[in-house]
Amino acid sequence: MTTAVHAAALTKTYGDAPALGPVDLEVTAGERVVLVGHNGSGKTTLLRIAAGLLDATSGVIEVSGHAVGSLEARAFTSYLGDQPVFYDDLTVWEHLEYVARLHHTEGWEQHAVELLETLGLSHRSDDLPTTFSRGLRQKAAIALAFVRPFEVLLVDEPFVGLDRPGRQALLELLARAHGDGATLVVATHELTTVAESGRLVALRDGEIIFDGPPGDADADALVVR
Amino acid sequence: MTAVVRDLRRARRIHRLGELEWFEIAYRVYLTAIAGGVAVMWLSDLVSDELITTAQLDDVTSQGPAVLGLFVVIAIALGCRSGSDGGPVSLEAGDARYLMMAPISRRAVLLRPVAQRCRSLAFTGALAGGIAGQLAARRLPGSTAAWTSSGALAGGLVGLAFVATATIVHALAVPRWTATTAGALVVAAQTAAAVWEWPGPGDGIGSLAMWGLRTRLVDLVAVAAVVGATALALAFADRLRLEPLTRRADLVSQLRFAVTMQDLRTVVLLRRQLRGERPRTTPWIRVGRSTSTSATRAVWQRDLRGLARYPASRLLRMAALAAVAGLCTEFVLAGTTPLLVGLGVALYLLGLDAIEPMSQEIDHPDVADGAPEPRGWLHVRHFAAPAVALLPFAVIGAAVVAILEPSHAVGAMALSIPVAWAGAAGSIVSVVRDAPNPVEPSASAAAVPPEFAGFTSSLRFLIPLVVSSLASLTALAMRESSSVGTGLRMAVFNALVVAATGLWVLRRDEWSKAWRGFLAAGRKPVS
Repeated sequence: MTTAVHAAALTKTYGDAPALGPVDLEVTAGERVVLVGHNGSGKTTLLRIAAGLLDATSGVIEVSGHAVGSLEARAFTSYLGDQPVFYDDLTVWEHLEYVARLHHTEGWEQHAVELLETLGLSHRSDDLPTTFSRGLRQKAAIALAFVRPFEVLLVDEPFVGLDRPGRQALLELLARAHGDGATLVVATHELTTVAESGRLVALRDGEIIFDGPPGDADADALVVR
Repeated sequence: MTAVVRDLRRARRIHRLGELEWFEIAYRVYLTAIAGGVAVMWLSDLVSDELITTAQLDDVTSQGPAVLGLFVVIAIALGCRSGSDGGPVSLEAGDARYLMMAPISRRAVLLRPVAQRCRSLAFTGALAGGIAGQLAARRLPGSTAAWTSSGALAGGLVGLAFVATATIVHALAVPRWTATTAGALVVAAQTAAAVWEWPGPGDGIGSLAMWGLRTRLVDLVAVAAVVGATALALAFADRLRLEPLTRRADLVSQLRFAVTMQDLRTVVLLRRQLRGERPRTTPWIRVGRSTSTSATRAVWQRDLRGLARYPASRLLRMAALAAVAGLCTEFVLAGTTPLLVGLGVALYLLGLDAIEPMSQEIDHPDVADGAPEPRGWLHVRHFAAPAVALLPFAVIGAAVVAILEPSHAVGAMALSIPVAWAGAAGSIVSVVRDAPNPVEPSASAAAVPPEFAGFTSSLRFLIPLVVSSLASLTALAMRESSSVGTGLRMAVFNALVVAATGLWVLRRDEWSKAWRGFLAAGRKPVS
């Protein structure tokens, strides 16, 4: 079994405030992991470090055997953040084209069309996402995370602002990606999704307090500080 | 560069060009040209055409390189700070998220913004240096062309020194305290060089700026050093880190917007975020709980708690501003009158930092508006804690004056506190004036005719500085007549400035209501 995400003695502090760790985590390729924890428990920090968006204060983290931030790690990792980010002057379709081409994606047009249909965004593909509502922005961000190839998908609070069809579409996309062999690490407060994962990791005050099958834990109790 | 990045930049350039309001751009260029022309003419008017004496020329020749070298070491010190805060370049949020996280060379992404930053600051520096050189040529021997070109060259190198230092410091992830210490050391070394005529790190570029007077080939070593540092910075471009670039990506665009809107408070808050300046989790001094139900006591305690959480970097900045105020005071006392403006600005900025608890109150109007006291009453009570907080900084300013000229020590110590308090009055005006009034939103801005909008916004910016500068008149008065009587009169004058500010804060809402009522009565049709 190859390792998709490997973190050892990982810590992060903001000024004099500790945010994470020390954390040791090993995610095997193809696993579907749900990260839970109270607000400020360190979920977002852990995911952003794994995505290369934050520098760890100390410790080691690798994605598919490559140092986070390296060319290879960036090729393997897709990150869907809790705050959608868009260019002011590109439409949804132009964003998709750009991201797909940056990642050297073959046949991206067909894939992009399917994604937009799944997410119910086809009719808005030529609009600027910066003018969208929160839910539509989230859908556009989901499309951008899925339009490119990846081995590891890091997802932070993906259900925020989504309507019922949007949630359903996202769950379907996650299941499809997992079926294709991708490793998923999803941070969420939506405990209903925990059952669909193979592994639950709970954080409290920056440290892992539970790591095991979802059936062995009382997820509600784990998210209480 | 990757073809896709090139394609995107081309497509976005076309989008942007299509959206530009060409008439508006032409109008802005026209206004900038007029303002620039007026500024250059005004500066030229300040410099007489009379050639300096031989003795003065000797002083300029011996001390000029070290004094002008201060500009380059200040640029290096600022570069150290900027680099440790994640500068000098800022990417768009989209570039930080998609380009920097794509499997393409980061050199392809980052080389261009770094090179653009080098280019723009080298140009700005060269422009400023060229103007200064042209002005120098009016009083110093040597041709205008030689002075202008040497000034422009030195200015351009100062700009490059800033960008190169910042990029290298960022790429090497130098901790902020190390960068700040290094910057302070080079400034201290050059200041010592200027005062005691020792060799300083900025002498080479300073000497290059004087090539209008004489040529020293050894100065080219400094040029080579700056060019080498710039080449190193360009080589390090791909080492710029994503975390600070992402943080800056969001903040810089907000900062630009806030500057455009002349929203000083937002600018201050965003700059603090850019620097990662946060209140301390553990206060310097723990302010105990109180059983008192007095609202005045509650405000006092709240403010002390805020002050006790000031980060070390803010306290250091306040100490530096106090030292600058002391330096300006001594120069004014020695006869350099224009530094009254520098003194006023230093006092204003020091005040802005000191009144942070009050600014926090104004940032959160719901708390004040929910309290069973008038807003003005509450705001005036926020004067007390910052007034106490300013005491040590007033002493620092006075100490600088005393070190530079021991005979001024007594006067400086006696007047430093009223001057610091009156100097903070401008900061209070600027913060309180921008306070939102949820009960009666101001319609005054909408009532201003468009042709007066520029004038009014200039006034909004200038009035607080003018109020702070009233305190600096103390130095002028003491220069004209250094006596106990003058000192007492100026202490009373500063106290009156603070009292008037307090009265304005206290009665502002009533006066503004009365004024609106008066205007409304004037608009009523006569029956």
